[in-house]
Amino acid sequence: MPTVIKNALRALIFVLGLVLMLFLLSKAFSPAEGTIADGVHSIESNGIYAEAENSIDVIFLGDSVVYSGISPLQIWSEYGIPTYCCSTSAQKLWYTEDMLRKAFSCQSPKLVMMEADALFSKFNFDDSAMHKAEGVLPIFKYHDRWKQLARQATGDKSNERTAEDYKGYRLNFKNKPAANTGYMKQKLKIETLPSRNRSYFKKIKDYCEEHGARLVLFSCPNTKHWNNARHKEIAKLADEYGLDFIDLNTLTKDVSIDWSRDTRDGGDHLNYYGAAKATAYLGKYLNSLGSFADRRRDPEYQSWNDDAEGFLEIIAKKTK
Amino acid sequence: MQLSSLLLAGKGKSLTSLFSLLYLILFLPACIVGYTLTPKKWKKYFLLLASYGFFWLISGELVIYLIISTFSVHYFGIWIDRLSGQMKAQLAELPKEQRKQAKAGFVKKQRGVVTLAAVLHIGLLLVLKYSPFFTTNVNTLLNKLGLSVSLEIPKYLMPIGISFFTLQAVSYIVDVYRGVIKADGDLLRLALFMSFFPQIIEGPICRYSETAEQLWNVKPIEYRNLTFGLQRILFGMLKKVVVADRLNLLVSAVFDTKNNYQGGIIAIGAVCYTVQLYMDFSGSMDAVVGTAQIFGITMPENFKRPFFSKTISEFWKRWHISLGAWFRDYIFYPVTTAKKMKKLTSSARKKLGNHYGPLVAGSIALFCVWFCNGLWHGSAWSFIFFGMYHFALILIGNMLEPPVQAVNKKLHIDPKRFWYRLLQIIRTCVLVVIGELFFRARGLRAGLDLFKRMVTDFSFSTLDNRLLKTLHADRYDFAIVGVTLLIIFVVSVLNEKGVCIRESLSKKHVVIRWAVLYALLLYIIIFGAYGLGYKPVDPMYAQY
Repeated sequence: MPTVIKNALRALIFVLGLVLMLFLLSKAFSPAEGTIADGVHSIESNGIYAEAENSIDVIFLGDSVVYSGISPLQIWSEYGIPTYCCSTSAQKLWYTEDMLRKAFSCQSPKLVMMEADALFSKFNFDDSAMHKAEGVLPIFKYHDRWKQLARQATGDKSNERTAEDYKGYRLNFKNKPAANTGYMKQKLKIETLPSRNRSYFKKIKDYCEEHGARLVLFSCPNTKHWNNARHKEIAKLADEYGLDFIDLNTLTKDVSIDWSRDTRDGGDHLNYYGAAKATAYLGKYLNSLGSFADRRRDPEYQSWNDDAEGFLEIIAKKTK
Repeated sequence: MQLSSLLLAGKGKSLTSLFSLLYLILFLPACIVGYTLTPKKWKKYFLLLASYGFFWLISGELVIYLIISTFSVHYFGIWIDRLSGQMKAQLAELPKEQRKQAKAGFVKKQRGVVTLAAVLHIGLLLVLKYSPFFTTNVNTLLNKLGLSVSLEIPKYLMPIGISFFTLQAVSYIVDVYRGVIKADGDLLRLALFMSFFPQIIEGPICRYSETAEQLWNVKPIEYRNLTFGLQRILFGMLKKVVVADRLNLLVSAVFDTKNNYQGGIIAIGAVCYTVQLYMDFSGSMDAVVGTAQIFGITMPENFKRPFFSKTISEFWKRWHISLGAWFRDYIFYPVTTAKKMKKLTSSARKKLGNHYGPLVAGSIALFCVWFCNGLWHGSAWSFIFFGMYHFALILIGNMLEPPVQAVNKKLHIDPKRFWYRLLQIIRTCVLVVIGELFFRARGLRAGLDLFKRMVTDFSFSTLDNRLLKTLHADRYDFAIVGVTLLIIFVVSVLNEKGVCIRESLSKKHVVIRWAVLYALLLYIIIFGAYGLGYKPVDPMYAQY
């Protein structure tokens, strides 16, 4: 046999061996379906698995501006609508799509509220390739669970992560005022939707339609990544697909964000005070749709009342 | 994945490093296949095309700087060479007594051309890289003088790797002038030397005599080169993905946030940054050397186990070797061999003796080298401080050499003893870590503040799981970094003893060979710091 063919065969066998090992490792590293440990990135957003099946009416999708700016327990205590923030930091659209699928695997929300910031978040070849690889060989996604497995093996509980049950919201009282209050006129690097993002958005929209859920676009107040051009771009997208679009950045009368007090990091994310204002508006909007029953007296949702009570107690203490 | 749109979109930044998936699973394999299928006499052109494609993917339209730079050195080189030819022809015709004067005239002209070329190339780098720094400082000065004038701070888009290919361009011109090499009449050969894709992001800064001919006379890919090259890339990946990327969040937390960490934690941050920088840069060099080896090209090594150095001087002969050698050949030697310096040395030698006499002129040259070295790394006072810090350490080391030798002799201490050398290595490492603290800090003031806290509040009392959370690290991160560093340490010790692990491995049975490679691959896949929750670091030296 010629050396070239011999070497090529050898390389092929080596690669096949590697793929087989990765396949076996994927089995070992993947967590059981539907557990809170599914996903290494964010226990807070994966906490939706811990909710009773088909108990959530609305989910919020998006990046860190969502878990910083929307408080489901506030909506619950005001309107009795069970909602959940399925958001992670710097969420790329392919991950948004994943989160959506995960959420629908255990819930049947009637409404999906999608924050628009992630729509402008570009992702490159590496992101797409890794996402595809994760789908075929989950070891690439769950490789970091070696820490969890090591903890289990050694009985180590020192660094166990527990999700504070705020339904995906991350409470934060820090305050760093924003300087660029005239941000709607600013120029941003990306102001039109990247074509790849547009196609992912289409997939998300189609998925919602197929599962009988209504999709609504919204934008949280943000002085760093939002402006008029982005507003127009999303308004155009919403028009194109006949979707509602709520831009809290333009509703300055209804959502009067005080940028000297309501942000934790100079305008990128809201703190508790800003989140309370943004959530109040969105809660009112959800209630105005008339599609959701008030479940506060439903015995199956008693734990929500308990969670909301605990949450309000913490708020009361901190805002004294 | 729309490959066509990806490649056509260009605009730079599509490709971020030699460890990006785009490079490892698409660009490099495509190059290997394309290169193999290309007929032998066209292979060099294929490499040139691949190199420009690569540069387009990382810098987009800024590729124009590389093109201009290549044209410029090509014609400057020919100009200098032509002057040499004219000089030789004319000198041959002139009577002996007139030759000296005529030669001086030609040399003056050549020097003028070299100066013009150097000024243009270095000048472009200065404008792009340093004008914001310069303008900011002028504004500060005007402000302090009470003048309410403020110059606009310019902003330029700088192509990745310009600091590297500019030094390569200057070395080519100077080497042609010195007669070390002949000017290259083939523009494409020179273009390949200037742009060879693995080295364009972070070097090494190659000399024309080292790589140009190799690149132009490329041979078909050999199985041994292919496997050895891939193994070297894999080893670099271990350093970069498992160690450098894992330490990134911790280092950022210590240096980029305003958490007032205790001195002990700052020291951990400084050590981690030093390790991160070394792992990132030397890992990238492994990928450069490995990629070149696949195509049968031997690149100069840029690192030689620097943390085994006994002095700072030795450290800089082992760390970023090609930059040190560039400064030595094109700044240190020209300064020390200048007529005035020679005079200064001979008069100082008479007054200060054979050790300290030459140190006077040497120190002036050393100052120039370290000032430029600091500035080359970045346009900020902290980098100039970094350069001056190393200048001071080397100078002190040179001055203390005779008294230390005398003390050792008096106390009967053998400097070759293991414990003595170990102490020297530890001392060097500590000094390097302190220097890197200033190098990484966000500005000189921040560096001084961190250093002050490190010295005055040196304690680890706040180090617990809660604090580790703010550092985005836990005991498992430290454990895996420790184990990986141990593996790299063992490899380094073997390399230091002259053992080539890939060579030894290639002689082992196929089962052992494959087991080692599988273990390394799976180790990187499982313990690599990639995916959600991690923030990989961009090639650190690419920004300099």
